[in-house]
This record gives sequence, structure tokens and C-alpha cells, in this order.
Amino acid sequence: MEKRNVISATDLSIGYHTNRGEKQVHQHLSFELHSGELTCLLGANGTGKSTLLRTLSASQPALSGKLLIEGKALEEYSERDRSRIIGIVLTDKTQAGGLTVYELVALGRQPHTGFFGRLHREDHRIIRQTLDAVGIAHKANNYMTELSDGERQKTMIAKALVQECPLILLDEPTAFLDVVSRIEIMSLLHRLAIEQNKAILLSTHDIEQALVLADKLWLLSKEKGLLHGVTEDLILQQRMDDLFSRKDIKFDYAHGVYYPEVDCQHSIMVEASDDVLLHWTINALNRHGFACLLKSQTEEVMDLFTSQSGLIKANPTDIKSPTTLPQLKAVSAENLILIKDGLQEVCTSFEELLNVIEKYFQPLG
Amino acid sequence: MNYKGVKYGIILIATILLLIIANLLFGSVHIPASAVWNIITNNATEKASWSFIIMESRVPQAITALLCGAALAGSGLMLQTAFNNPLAGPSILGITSGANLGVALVMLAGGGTLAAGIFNLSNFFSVILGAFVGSMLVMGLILFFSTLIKSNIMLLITGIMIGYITSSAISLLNFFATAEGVHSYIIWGMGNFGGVSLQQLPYFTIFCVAGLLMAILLIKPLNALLLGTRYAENLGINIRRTRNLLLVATGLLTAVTTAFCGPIAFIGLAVPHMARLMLGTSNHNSLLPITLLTGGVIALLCNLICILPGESGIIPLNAVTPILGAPVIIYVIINQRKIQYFN
Amino acid sequence: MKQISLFTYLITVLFLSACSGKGSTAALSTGDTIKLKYADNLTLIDYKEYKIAQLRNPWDTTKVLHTYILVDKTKPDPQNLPEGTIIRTPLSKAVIYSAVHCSLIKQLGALKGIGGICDLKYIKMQEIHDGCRKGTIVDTGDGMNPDIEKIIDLHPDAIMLSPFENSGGYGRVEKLNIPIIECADYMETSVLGRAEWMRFYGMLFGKQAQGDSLFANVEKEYLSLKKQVVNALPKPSVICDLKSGSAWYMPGGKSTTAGFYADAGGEYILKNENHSGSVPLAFETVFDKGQNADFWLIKYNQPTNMTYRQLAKEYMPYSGFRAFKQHQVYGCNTNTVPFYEESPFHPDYLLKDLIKIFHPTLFDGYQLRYFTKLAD
Repeated sequence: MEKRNVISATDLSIGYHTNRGEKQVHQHLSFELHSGELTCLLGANGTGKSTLLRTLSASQPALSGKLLIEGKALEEYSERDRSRIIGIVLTDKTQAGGLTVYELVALGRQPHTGFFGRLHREDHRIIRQTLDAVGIAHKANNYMTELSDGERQKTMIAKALVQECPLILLDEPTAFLDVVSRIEIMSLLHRLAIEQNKAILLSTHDIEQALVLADKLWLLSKEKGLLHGVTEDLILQQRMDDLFSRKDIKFDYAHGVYYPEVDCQHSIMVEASDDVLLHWTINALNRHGFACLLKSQTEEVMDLFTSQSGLIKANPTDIKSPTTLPQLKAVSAENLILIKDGLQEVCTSFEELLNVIEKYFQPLG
Repeated sequence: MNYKGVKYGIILIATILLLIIANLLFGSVHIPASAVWNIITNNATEKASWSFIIMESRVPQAITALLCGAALAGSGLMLQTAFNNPLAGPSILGITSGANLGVALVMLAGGGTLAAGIFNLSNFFSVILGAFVGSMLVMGLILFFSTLIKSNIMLLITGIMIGYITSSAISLLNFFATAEGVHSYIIWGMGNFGGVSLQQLPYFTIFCVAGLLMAILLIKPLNALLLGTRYAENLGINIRRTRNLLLVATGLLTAVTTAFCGPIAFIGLAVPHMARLMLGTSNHNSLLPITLLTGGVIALLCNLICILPGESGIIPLNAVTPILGAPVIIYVIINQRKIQYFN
Repeated sequence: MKQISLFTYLITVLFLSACSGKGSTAALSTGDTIKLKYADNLTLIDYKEYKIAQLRNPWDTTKVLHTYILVDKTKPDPQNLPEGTIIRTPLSKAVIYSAVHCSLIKQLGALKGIGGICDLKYIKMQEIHDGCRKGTIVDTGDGMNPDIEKIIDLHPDAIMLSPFENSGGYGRVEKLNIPIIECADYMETSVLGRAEWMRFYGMLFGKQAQGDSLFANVEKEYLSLKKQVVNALPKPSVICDLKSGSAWYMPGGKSTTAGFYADAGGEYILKNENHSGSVPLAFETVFDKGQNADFWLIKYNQPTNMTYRQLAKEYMPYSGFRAFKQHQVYGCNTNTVPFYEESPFHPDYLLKDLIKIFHPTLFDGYQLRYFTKLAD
């Protein structure tokens, strides 16, 4: 299937009008959205994700600039045509509890039906197909109130799909869902984007899944505006740090997660028999206030860092020469050897190890 | 319409036919069924007064009740969906008060008394116009506030306040009116399906049918509105135009029924809930027609109850409608959790 | 010892004070009962030094509505008055709630006794309007909710109002210690019974003789008129009033209106009905009974006179009545005609009108006083 530009924006300025004039949320945005891809919009709260989505879905007008959907300016679309181009999925509460799943999804056919909204055979076929594609066909005759949150979201997605729009915008579709549902929904969206050649853009706070399943990322921040590109490119260009302007929150490029800065009171040298063990050993030690030095790097002088690099608040007088640092050798998860001041302790679990650590290391004042 | 809708539709239509027959057979004056049949089939061999009573009194009253019930129930449903509020209705939002005020002003300006029920044909349209403009003004106010107020509860309270203001204006008018005027206004306020004569019936029917047709045309947007305005917009519904149509339809139906029959309580509020409970759905494809039919049934039933005392008198309409309507509302409120269309 | 005597002293004082003044129940001398021929709910007894007017409760005839003791205000209060509300006559500054009584008082020549009135908009008497303008008569506002301050300011010597069933009190006026005269004349079931109350009202204003003679005249006129038609045939059938909302209120068979129609030689369609008040009927009931009635009498209140056209537009089925078709509808526009003010205490006027309508051949040259034929 051919990929094409579904959205094309040039020098776009978004924001809203207040009593006191215009409030610009972002300016000079230029981006493209392609069909056949799942794009995730990431950003901190208040950076304008919702504003951007509302502008793209024509719920509010852009302040200036060009915004083309399928090659035509958004303002030039009639309501009816627009309803066949853009489908949306929101977190809004509805009063549709008394509708069955089938009836609600059927509402998505309204852009294609006549005056009374009568459904023909073709409409029913599309509805049934979509219910299957989304995986909710077995609940077709249940009322919306009877569904779980995940099922309800799937229904709303199905409704957007039967509109047969090339573009689907979702505003935090996985909010309030558990991890299983989240993965389900994200996988579903990715699959649909490819199978049905749709351009799907969703905003989310679930960074973990976004990095896994998104073909493209849009990173929105106040300082840097909109950064966009293929997921891996953005990650390896160290762009993830720019997303949140907090100095005490860092991105773990190896593991694809954000983590808080470590408040370290002690230093310790760590070695482990494999990477997984090393990662989780350092995780436990960091949590208990230890800056970790890798054995392989002790030859480098005074280049203190944890396995998750960042600034540490260590007391300078505490930095001793490498050889006088306490050590931890993680042979296996049941064999952890702590060496401090010439004494050696062998622990058979992390629980034991952390108890020992508590005994031997007093918190600094 | 789905199967359940068709099934209930047939039952309701049959009930309506039965009730119309009952309304023709029973009244304050005892007329034997055979005589009624003769009169209907135009064998004018019966007592002239009976023929007169059937044709000039009972027939118009039954048709008025049927149309009035459908009109009020339809208005109630449209308002409940549009405002996303199960307690919305023409009277709660003050629209009936607006129509009342319009009627009161026209009569006061036109005659010096508030004796409602006195229509000169030349004033006929001005009374309708007065009721229409009054209800439009209040509707317009409500819509204006709806752009400012996001919360539906707050909007409802605003509507109630507007209703109080119009009621206070009406109180003032009453205070300065004559005793007969006040008495007439009170009697008018009790509601009455017998206020439409056979000659006025065509006009009444035209206005009601116009409003009901508009309601039918709104089925598709009403369904979309169940999802909220943003989703509805995305489905291609022009929210402003839909709101305007809704305004006109509800205003027209409320104005006509209030002008001819006085303010009638509870039908607009309770009947949509009855229909929803019967059908178990919020889908307006079946909900709207069933609501209209149920409204007709309830109105005809109330009309029948009103003539129960027989020769010794009649019960006023607004004393009967709450007895049927209030229990339904209480049931719905108590069972809110179990009722799916609330969640 | 001291305590006992103090105690006895207190008891004696209490006992004596309870006995004096209004406390005693028995009248010391017997009085002359003034014979009232028609009024059922009024009893007048003359005790030389004072008079008693006892009003029976028209809604519960086993009870007394109110007892009034009329004393001459120019003389000192007699001793040992029985229980009751004391009224010092003649009244010189009374507040009159109803236009009906104002009209009577004028007839009795006691207009000066009116100090204040209610519901000025319903009163047509020029003298009252002039008095209000000049300030000699106070407009105390609405009869349902009068201006208490104005009443207090006036210091009236009595308030005359119409009582009603289950009234629950007359509001703040009761607390003013001004005698309230409950004018229950309207609850009399006979026409002359109501008129006879004028003898009581005459007493209140020091016009007892005028009241008595006025009533004697009224009675004579009325009975003579009644006699003239007692055997007149045929008796025309009569319906009255208009539909209001869903109910057509018509006076019951035992009401004064029904009495008028019977005395005027007419056949009221509800004459066998048992209520003395109004009955709400459905249109079809009235039509069934009265479709062929000979005459239809209506009272209304609007700036212009009613026409057949207006009646038909109000409710087309009205045109189905024979009285309508044959133009035998008579209307009384109470906006301009003093029907309510005059007819209670001059029933003879109304009777003459009714007789003229029902039996047009009588009273050659007499112009109807209250009713007119409807214009087209």
C-alpha cells in the first residue's frame, strides 16, 4: 500500500482566543503525518497536546499557517466531508449508556447515511467487519454500561473506524486502562494503521508502549516546539531528554524509560555476571542511595557515575580512591557478595542484602 | 426501528384507538354506545344534543388530548437529550412560564382582563404568537446561558431561576387584574383538553404536526448528541443548526399546547422515561416514535380520568397528570444505578 | 395564719374579677327578640340598654359564628354585659371591605360612617371615589391583604368583612382589638333572608328605623312582584353563566340565584339540584340539560359589551344552544352595571328585571336595569 501525506502543516501557529486577544501555544510548527503509520504524540501536561489535537480535528481554528488534510485546506472542508476525513476518539463521558455496542458503532456511519440515518446492507457489513477487526464482536448486543473500560474504548475506536476516515485522532485513548488493555489497544491501533492504511495519531502518557509500537514520535515541549521523526532516530539523537525540561528526570536510553535523579549518600563498586543482574542490582542500590561505579571503569579517574548517568549529590569528602570503596559482586540472584572494610558478607537474596546494607551503612547527616 | 420498537408501537397504537373510543363513549352525560356509533357513522337519528356533544365536544377533546400528549412528550425527550439531563422538560426550564407570560401579556394588552379561553379569531394568531414569542425568548435565554455554563446542573438551575422570574411577572399581572381575571387565570392554569373547538382543531393540528415533523427530522442529530457535542460535530452534525431546530420545534410545540390547553404538567417530563423504560434503549430511532405514542396514551388516559365524577362534575387536568407522572420519576431516580441509560 | 388569709384574699380577688365584666354568662333581664322573617343565621335581641346580634355559623349550624353586643356610644357602658364583641354604635369610622355594603350604607343615609374601604377598583360609587380623593375615606388596599398600617392609623371603630368557611383567621387585623363584623349575609339561602340583614346593619350605623323601613319596602315590592307571576304560564327554562376552563360553574339548586329564577316564574334547569353554592359541570352536562333552554343569562366583566360573535369565538359550541340561535341571551356587564352592589339589598330590582325577561308582556315600558340583550 502506498504511503501518503494525510496531514501536511506549514508554519502552523496554534492557540486560542481569549478576551485579551490571542494566546499562542505553539508557533511555526511544520510537520507531516503519513498513512500506514502509528504516530504517538508525547509531551508533559500543559504543553499543548490537546490544543494541537483539537486544531487538527477542526474543533478549534489554527491561529495562522497552512494546514492541509489530504491535500486540501482544513477550513475548506464542508462539515459532511470533514466527517468522512477525520475520526476522533476522546475520553469524554457520553450519555450513550443505553445504546448497545452495535448501535453506538453504527452511529459512526452517520457521515455516509441519509436523512434519517438509515443503515443499508453495506453499512451493516462494514460495522460487522469492524467489530471483528477490533475484537469486540462478541459484545455487539451488550449495552455500553455493561462493558469494561477497555471494551468501551475499543467500541469508540470501532465507531471511528466505520467512519472510513483516512485520519484518526485519539486523545489519550489508554488513560485509565490497565497494562493489558493498554497493550491491546496500542497493538490494535498499530495493526489497523498498517492493515487499513490509515494515518493514526494519538496522544499518550504511556511512554513505554509508545516507544515500542509507534512508528513515528511527535515530541511536544514548550522550549523546543514539535520534534518529529522515527522513534529510534529520536531516541538515539538523545531527543528524549528534551521532552521534559526537568533536570532531575532522566531518560534511560538503554532501557527506554524515564527515571528520577538519584540522591546518593554513599558510593559502591559493582560487578555482575550478566547485564540483567547488573541492571537490577544497580536499581536496588540506587533506590537505597548508592552511587554505583562499574568495576571496568575504576581505572578512569574520578569519573563518578552511576549506571544511569547523571549528576549525583555526593559529598566530595566521601569520594575515596577506588580501592577503598565498598564492593558488591553479584554472582547470581542468590549469591551476592558485599565487601566493606575488608569484611565480606554473602547474601542469598536482595532482601537479605538490603538488610545488611542498612546495618553497615549509616546515612550521612 | 428495531423489533422491540415495532412491537411496542403496535401495542401503543391499539391502545390509543381503544382510548379514543373510550373517550367518545364516556363523558359526564350518559350516551349509549349504539347512539355513539350512529353519530359517528352519520346516521343522525339520535337526540340532537347527543350528536352535538359527541361531535363538538368529545371528538375535538380526544384529538386535542392525543396531539397534546405527543407534542409535550416529544418536547420533553428532545430537551432531555439536548441538555443531557433526565429532569429537563418544558416546564422545568421555564419555557412553559415564558409561554404563559406571553399569553398573559397578549390578553392583558388585548382586553384588560386575563380571562383566558376567550379567543377572538383576530386575536387567535396573536395569542399563539404571544405564546410562541414568550417561549422563544426563554429558550433563547437558556441557550445563551448554555454557551457560558458548561455544567448541565447549573444550566438547569439557571432555567429554573428564569422560570421564577417569569412567574413573578405573571404574579404581578395577576395582582393588578380583576378578581374574575385571576379566577380565570387559575382555572386556565389547571389545564384543559376541551379548549379547542372543532373549528379551531385544524389550526391546532397543523401546528402540532409541524412541530412533531421537525422532531422526527431531528432523530439523527439527537442520536449523535448522545455522544456529546464534540463527537457529534465529528460525525458531521452542525451543532448550531441542530440547536436552532430544536429550539424552534420545542418552542412551537410548547407554545401551541400552552396557548390552547394551558400549562400541562408532567407529561413532558415523565413520558420519555416511560418510553425508555419500556424499550430499554436510548436510540431515538425507536425512542422518539414510541415516546410520541406513549404521550398520546397518557394524555387520553388522563382525559378519561378527569370525567370520572360523571354528572356531578370534573377533575382538573393538572391534578391528574402528576399522579401518573410523579411515580415514574421517583422510580427512575431510585433505580438510577440499575437503569442502563443513566450510565 | 397570714399565709392562709393572703391565700384566701387572692382567691377571692380572682373569683370576683372572673365574675365581673364579660365574664358572666347569664343575661340578667330578658330582652325582646326582634322578629326576623327570612334571615336564618341572624338573631337580634333588644335589651333596652344594649342589643345583641347573634350570628349563626352557616357552615356548621350548631355553632355560633359570632355574638355582637351593640351599646350606645354616647352613654356609659352598661354593667354586666354578656359575652360577646362590643360594638359602640353608631359607627362613625368603619372600614368596609365590600362594595355591596357600601351601597347599602349609602341607601341608609349613613355614608358618613364609612372611614375606609378595600378594593377601590371594584367600587363604582362616586361618593366613595371622591372621599378617597379628598382623604375623608381611606383606601386600605386589597381585601385579601389590606394595609394594616393604614387601618391602624385610621382608628376605625369596626371592620366589616365577609367571612368564609375554614378561614383560619383574617390575618393581622384580628390582633388590632378592633371589632370585626363578619357579614355572613351572603350565606343566607333565601333572597329576602339576605336582604333582611340590612336591619342589623342599620342598627350598627344608628339607622335602625331606616333599615327596618327600607326592608319593609323591599319585602313588599318583592312579594308583590312575585305574586304577579306565580301562576304565569308557560314557565320558560333558564340557563346561566359561561364555561371557564374545563368547568362550567352554575349556581346550585338551593342557591339564591335559583331562588330568584323560581320567584321570577322561570324554570331553572338545575332547580332540583341540592347545592347552595356553585357546581362545576362539564359542558356536555349543561348542553344535555339546557340545549333547549329559553333564556340564557350571563354576567361578565370586560370593557366592551359581549356580542354573539364574541361568544361564538370564545367557544364555538355555545352556538349550539337554542337560546343562542334565537338570540335570547341576556348579558350583564358588571364592569359598568352595579349588579353586585345593588342586588343583595334590593332584590326587588333584580326580580323585576328577571320577570321582564321571562314574561315580556308584563311591565309595559319598563327598561331592564341590569341585563341587556346581546348585540350581534
